[in-house]
Amino acid sequence: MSRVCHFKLVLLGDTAVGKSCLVVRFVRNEFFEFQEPTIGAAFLTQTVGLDDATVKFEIWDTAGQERYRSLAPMYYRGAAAAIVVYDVTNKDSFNGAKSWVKELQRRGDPNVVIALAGNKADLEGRRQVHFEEAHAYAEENGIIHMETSAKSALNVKSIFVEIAKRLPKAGAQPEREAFPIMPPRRDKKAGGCC
Amino acid sequence: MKALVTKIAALDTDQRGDEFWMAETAELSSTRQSVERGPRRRSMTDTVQPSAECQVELQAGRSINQAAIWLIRRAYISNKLRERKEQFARSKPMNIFCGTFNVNGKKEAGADIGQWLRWKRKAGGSDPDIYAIGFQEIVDLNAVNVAVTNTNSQQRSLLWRAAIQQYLDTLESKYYLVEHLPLVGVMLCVFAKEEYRSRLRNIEASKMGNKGGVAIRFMLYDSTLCFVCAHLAAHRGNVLGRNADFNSILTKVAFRAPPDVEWEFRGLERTPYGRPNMEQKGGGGVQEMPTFGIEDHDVVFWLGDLNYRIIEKVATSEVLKRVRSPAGLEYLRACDQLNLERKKGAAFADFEEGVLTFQPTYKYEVGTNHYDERPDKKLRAPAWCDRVLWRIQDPASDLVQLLSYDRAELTLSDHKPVAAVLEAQIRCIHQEAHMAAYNAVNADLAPYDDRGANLQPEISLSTQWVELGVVRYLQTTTARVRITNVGQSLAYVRFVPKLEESSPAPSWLMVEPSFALLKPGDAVDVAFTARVDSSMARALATGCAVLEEVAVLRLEQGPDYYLQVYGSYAQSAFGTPLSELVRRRAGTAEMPIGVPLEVWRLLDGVVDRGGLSGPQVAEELFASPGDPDDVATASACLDSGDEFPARCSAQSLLQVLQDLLQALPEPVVPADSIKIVERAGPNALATWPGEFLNSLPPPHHDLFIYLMAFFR
Repeated sequence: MSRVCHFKLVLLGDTAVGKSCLVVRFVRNEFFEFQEPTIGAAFLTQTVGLDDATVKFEIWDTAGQERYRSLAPMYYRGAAAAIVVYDVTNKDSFNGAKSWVKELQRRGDPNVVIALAGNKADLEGRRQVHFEEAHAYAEENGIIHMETSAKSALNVKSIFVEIAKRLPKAGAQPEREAFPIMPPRRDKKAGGCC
Repeated sequence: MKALVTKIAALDTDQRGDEFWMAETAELSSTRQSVERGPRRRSMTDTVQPSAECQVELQAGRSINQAAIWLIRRAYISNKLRERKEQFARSKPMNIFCGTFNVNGKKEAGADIGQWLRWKRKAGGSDPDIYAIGFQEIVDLNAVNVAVTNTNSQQRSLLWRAAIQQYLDTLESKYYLVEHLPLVGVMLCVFAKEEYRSRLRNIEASKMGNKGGVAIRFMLYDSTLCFVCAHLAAHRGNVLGRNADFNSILTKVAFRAPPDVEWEFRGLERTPYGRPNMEQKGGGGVQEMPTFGIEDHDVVFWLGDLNYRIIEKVATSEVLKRVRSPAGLEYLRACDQLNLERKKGAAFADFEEGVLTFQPTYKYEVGTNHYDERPDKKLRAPAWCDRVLWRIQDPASDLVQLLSYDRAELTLSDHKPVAAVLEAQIRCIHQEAHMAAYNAVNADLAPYDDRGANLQPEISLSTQWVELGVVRYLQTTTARVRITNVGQSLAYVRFVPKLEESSPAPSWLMVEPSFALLKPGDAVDVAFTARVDSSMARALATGCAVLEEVAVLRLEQGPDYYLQVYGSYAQSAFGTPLSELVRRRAGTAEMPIGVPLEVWRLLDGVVDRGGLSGPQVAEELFASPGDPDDVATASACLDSGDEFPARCSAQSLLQVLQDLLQALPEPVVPADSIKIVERAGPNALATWPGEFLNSLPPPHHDLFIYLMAFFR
């Protein structure tokens, strides 16, 4: 049995680009045409099997609405990987994605693996963002780029697998302790918080 | 350098306390003394906040915070055990004698210390169970004694100790010395009745550098006690020095004795949910010995020459005059620096003290019972330098009652000795009953641990939109959200602080409880309480803040929920610009000058209450912040136009005035006008006042003149 490595992964992107749909497709292989907006941050886990290891993603799917933007750092802080999602039928969301990438590069973990996902690729007729443009941007910034469709499942698993391949397995988080939990070490004054 | 004396009395834990356990319910004492209480702290269990761990979690990049889960679970078990405490804990009142004496370098020979140590107990009562006696200035504080040799101090402390022992030997009960610690001029010794020798454990003494603070702590049955004896900074004006000494002793004195676990977990060390293993090796293999402090005790007794005086505004001759009458003493109590500092929260904030019904203990002419007024000596205002205070860790409990607080008329020193006798409820835990209660609490959780590890927890919220409605100045407004565990496993929920913030909610918003452990089907109502104070009112008025907040509720191993909290700030004088306040009352002819009606009403109220009738009184008025409830009521009256209730004191009204001015979006004296004063040299008095006054915008100018004329 190969060893299991845990990684925190965060999904970022403007509102209604399909972040939750991508995760639900990846984790539960389901799709809902009318997904409720996320008010908070969903936490899900899913594993990806590679030849040499099994990668277990601890996924934070964040709220895309502008009013929650200031909370995003709570989730990308310490994340090993991030998927920045835009909607190929919405030019503004691609600009938004670029600013998310910039923010990650500036304030995220220096080794964070970033993937840019152009979602809703099934809606070819309404396309506003060309593949080449986004791809060139991704290459410039040294990040993964794929067009995806949560509806048709296009590239959904592939993008997670691609991220899993790039993650450094050596420094991965160890498997967590099984219940019952053991108390953590505390080196401040005893009773300081109780 | 830091000498630590540790004694650990070995004891058979299974046997201890049986006779205690059999004791009948504690009889109540009938001789309780009135007590001056400091501001109450919130109950400990409400404030457990695993926020520090939260940051650790984020750094490590892990999504599941074992530390938070552990703390929440521990708090849950702690609460459940406290609810069941009648099943396994008993308490018995014990009398604790705390004495303090600044002996002014005098020797003990011939002094009748019995006068001071004798407790006039009621018929049928017994001698005090514990004697804690502190001394100051057992040697003169000269350079030789402080820096060169400790021998002198050691010898003197032993002589004083022997004198106490000699007195105790005359009592019916037999006492033994628990611990004794001198530090240059200060020394503290604790004696206990012989019968407690095996019940008194984990004894440790600790001292704090040159600040003149020594402390002795121990566990008596299952209560932890700490005695502190201190000599704080001298000189009448040096309140800040004393506060600093106090805080430094409070925070820096550390003990290393085997920490005796919070009482509800005592004796459960070997169980998986007991205390953390404090002696685990650290990552680098270095063993860090944990320490704990004065405040980590059930009860702290603080005695000593704390050196607080009567505020300087009261002339020395005035103090000497007033000490002679009961009414004068009442006046002086209100001008006592320690009482004022405690009210402000600057020192001894959560300590309690008996009412000072005795005369000030300093400074007497040695050998007499009159204050030192000799013409060849510096005349000093009498003061209550020598005090005994106490602090209870869990403010919800009523562990300590004061039985007596008085001074003794010894003439040995220029201080009089002081003694307080307190009745403390000492706890004893019955081991088997305790274990049974603990097992019962855990048995409730265990089934979920077994099958819950791989299930995703699920909760439901009654709403994610927390509407506070109209929030009025200084009035608390609460909205509630119900969190229900609708899943099959335990739900650990808590509000988490945002990055770079230390608490889950801004200062105007209180979230309670801030965490919970819910079994399937359990629910908890979380209260969001908003309160706008003067600085928030100003921030709202200037657009620096809004009454909106996203509270982040984290379900461990599940999602984060955002709760939108919002309210609207009611129209109020607090936060309204001065020009608007003045304009609003245009047309009413009550007052000819252009100052806000609110200011006029407040000052009118102060005058009605006899405030500002003398310079000393004015000083006192500003020294006290007023009663918080009255301040809130008066503030509401200010907005509604209702009369201020008669119970609102002049202090409270002045506090409202200060708040009103503080809430002004543009201060009474704008920044530009302050620059004029700053630019002006010391000799430019002829020119800058005119320029300064001219620079004030008209309503500011009028208000400034009005206030100056009033408080002049």
